[in-house]
Amino acid sequence: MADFDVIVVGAGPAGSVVSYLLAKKGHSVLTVERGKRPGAKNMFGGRLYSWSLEKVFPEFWKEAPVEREVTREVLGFLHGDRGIEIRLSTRPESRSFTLLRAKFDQWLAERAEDAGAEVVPGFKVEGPLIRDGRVVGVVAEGEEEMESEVVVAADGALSFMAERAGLRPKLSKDDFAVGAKEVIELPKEVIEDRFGLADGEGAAQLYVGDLTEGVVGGGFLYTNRESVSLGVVMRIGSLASKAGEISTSMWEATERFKSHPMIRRYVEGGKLVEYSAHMIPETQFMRGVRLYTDGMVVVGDAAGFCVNYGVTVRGMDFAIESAIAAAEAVHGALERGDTSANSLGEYERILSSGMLRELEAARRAVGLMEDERLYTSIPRMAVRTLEHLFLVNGRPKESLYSFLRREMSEEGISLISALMLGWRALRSL
Amino acid sequence: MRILVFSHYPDLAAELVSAGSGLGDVSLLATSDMREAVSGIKGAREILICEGVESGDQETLVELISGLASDFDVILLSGDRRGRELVGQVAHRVGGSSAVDASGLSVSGGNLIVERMTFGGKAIAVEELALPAVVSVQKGKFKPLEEGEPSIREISPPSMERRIQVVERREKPKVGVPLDKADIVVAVGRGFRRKEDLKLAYDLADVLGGVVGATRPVAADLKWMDEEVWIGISGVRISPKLLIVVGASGQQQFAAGIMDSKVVVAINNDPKAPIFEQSDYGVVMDLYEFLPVLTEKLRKLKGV
Amino acid sequence: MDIAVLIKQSLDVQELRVDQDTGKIYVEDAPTKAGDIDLNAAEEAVRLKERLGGKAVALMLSTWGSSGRRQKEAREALTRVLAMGLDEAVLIMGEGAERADTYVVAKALAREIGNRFQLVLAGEGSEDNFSGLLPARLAAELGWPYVAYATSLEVEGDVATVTRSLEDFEEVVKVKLPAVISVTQEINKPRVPKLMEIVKARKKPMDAKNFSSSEEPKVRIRELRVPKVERKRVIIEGDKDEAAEKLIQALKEEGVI
Repeated sequence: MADFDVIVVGAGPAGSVVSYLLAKKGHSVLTVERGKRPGAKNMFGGRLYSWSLEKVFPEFWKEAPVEREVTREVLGFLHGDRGIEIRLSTRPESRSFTLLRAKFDQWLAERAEDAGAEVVPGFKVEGPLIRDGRVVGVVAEGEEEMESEVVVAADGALSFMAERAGLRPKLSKDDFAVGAKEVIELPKEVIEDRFGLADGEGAAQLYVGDLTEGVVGGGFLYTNRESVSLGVVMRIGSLASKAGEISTSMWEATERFKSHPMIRRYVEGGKLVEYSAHMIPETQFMRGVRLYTDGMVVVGDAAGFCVNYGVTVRGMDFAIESAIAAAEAVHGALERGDTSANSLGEYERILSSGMLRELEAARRAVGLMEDERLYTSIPRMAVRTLEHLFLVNGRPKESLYSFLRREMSEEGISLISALMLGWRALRSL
Repeated sequence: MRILVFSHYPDLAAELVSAGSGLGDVSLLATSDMREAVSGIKGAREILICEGVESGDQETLVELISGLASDFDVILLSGDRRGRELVGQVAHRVGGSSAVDASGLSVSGGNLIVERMTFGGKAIAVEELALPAVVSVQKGKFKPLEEGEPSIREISPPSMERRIQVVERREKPKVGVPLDKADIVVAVGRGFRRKEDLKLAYDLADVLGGVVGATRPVAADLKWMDEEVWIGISGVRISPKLLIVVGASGQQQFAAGIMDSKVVVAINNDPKAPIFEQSDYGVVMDLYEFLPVLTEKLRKLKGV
Repeated sequence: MDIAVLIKQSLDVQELRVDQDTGKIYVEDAPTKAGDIDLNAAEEAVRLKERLGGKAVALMLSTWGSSGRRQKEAREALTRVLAMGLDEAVLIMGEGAERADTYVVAKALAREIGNRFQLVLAGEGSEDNFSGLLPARLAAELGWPYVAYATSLEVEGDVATVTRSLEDFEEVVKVKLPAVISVTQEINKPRVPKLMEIVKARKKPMDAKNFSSSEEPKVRIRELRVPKVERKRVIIEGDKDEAAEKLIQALKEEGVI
């Protein structure tokens, strides 16, 4: 007899939600988390779109430690020490929240525990336990074998579970972008004043421009209750091709971003309380991933269910949605007493009718954002054009039309393609 | 206020007399085998000498000090292991308050106010102790007094049933000048890749006439060196004129142990290592490259 | 022989944040865990128990308030030592415990210990405070002999032979049980529990008791502040020769070489 019905590897949002749902159905669940505490290793993911988690915990934000509800979206172009911000004040019907993962993941893990899952933090799982080509459990730290009917791999973007079970190829560093994030503490009133927010309201601000020096990527700012998350995401492939030290360029880009006059005023006088750099999976590599095998399913980042928008990464909502689907499929398989690949394949069938489509759409949009000009020419032109428009110096001014034509020929962009690019960019964000 | 002080170590006893004299009249307790050793200590009102008790006999000392306690408001002991070991036992026997490792003492509102380091060196706590209070005092915080000739009073030993029997005592090998008394210390950390490589640090210490200490990982975990040379809040606290920290990152508990050093130099190849924040001079370089050069130049300078 | 092991709910000082500028110490935010050296005490208890039979019980009196989080941390700390092989745990917490000093805690633990145990083991100190006062006070309260700083421990019949490490020498002592003994980190290497042992440990008996005490604490913390040391923080630039020259020059000017 197996030690557990289900062993879940990883107690991030996907792992905790799948543990919660399966424990609630009465299955014995063991959830093993590498970090000292759930969330301890997850510095990234500062924003959660609520649509998927709401299905599990309606109105979860009333109880869960979320920081602020996003009511302000800002898109910014930075060039030199100048910049443009486009602000959207909004309260969409589907909410989104800023949050700090250390607190939020802990809360989700506690829900799983309350439902009866055994959550063990601070313990490393080495890989899947495979017998006769079938996953029958996990191998824990110290060669310890633990058996279960089903294993759920929720071990994040670098998932060695999926890799060792042969569900995805070994990754190279080209499959990743890097992100650096700082948490800067400021008093609540100062944040609300600087960002123009009311109590409980939050801002999500994305910036592109020369801070990444031509590399695909950009900067972001998220407001938490009493801190601001500030960071930079850069495509690692292009970074590596610049032959520079990744960490150094990341650090420099973060510094450039932070010291830009437009950004500086948001975080000035704040106290840096946390700095972290992380690998972020690129969206493309996941095409070769299989989501299940005999005795195992893969959820969340481990399955590549995240979208890197260049400037920001969206993954938590997909992770949670995939966990819901996995829980349903695993429950069904356990009920049938058949945890073969065929039976667990229900997982992909559930996803195909819903989330996978949205993920595809999001990825298509991202594909359009590969264009490096979005991170170089467009911000530059946008800033210079507005500058031209507002310039008053007592001398006759070149007409806007001729200015634009000259600018575009300098950048080597036609008006049509510039408009197209801008349109696509805005649409896909 | 009446203060009783005791330490197994005459130099620490002198510091305790000094600490106690700031609070009131001090009586210094000594066992008969310490008679000679404490005879030069100045500043106490009296020295109590207990005949027939040997200073190594902790069990009797607990009894003796607890028995004397009713005549005193504050009992000060030293911060070494045997001193600390007495604090809790005596305090509880006399129904008193207790604290260890005091770096500052004063009296306010009928209480003893003690300052001491806590939270692994991250904080200083100011505590109010009800009297009677039994406190161990941090080494090196109080300068021995130079004046005040004490009177001598002989006291008789307690009668008691013994439950602990010392069957053997083994000297530990001496490590030269004790770390906490050294003027120059070279502290080594995990930046050294192998035990043999510590020679680089010993060479530097030799040239400077200093001694070598270690961080906790090197001394306690890797056991490359004796545990006696572990510098830190729960190891040895040092106060040299010059401390050179080589290949140590500067963990908080280590940092707390080096706070009283006059000049601190850090050599580490990681520019982000917290040790640079705790240093007067920092060299961001591989120790394997830098130490031999530094040692050689110092050797020429000193002509050794 | 039944053994009690004192497990301190120690503040995880590695994760304690202090703000040098404002002097604020974020004690509430820092997690707690079992004291490091308490794990050595637990290990020693398990080894003795395996050899001599009897039960080994973990005792904890939590002084960090009784919030859900602190309770959970206390249980986790106890689960950890249960997973190492202790048989049971007793967790005492509740109103007033956060004010308790070592005097009050020793009294409360002594009531729990009574004459149920022949040996009490403890760590020589816990990393948050490192006072080592509690086992000494407990011994005095129980009227038992106390031996500190044990680096090895043998028990035969009702006599324990302890090697203890002092600054200048080691001492071998024989002590008649019952006794309180505190151990150092050198005494053993605590075993790392396996995953299954952790899972099973959660099903071992953990007796939660309400703290009650009529004694008034004798120590009150008046203030906590951040120690300040001003350092020059000069980074010496240049290649190894230049840097060495500059450093020597600086140290000469400081008058330390």
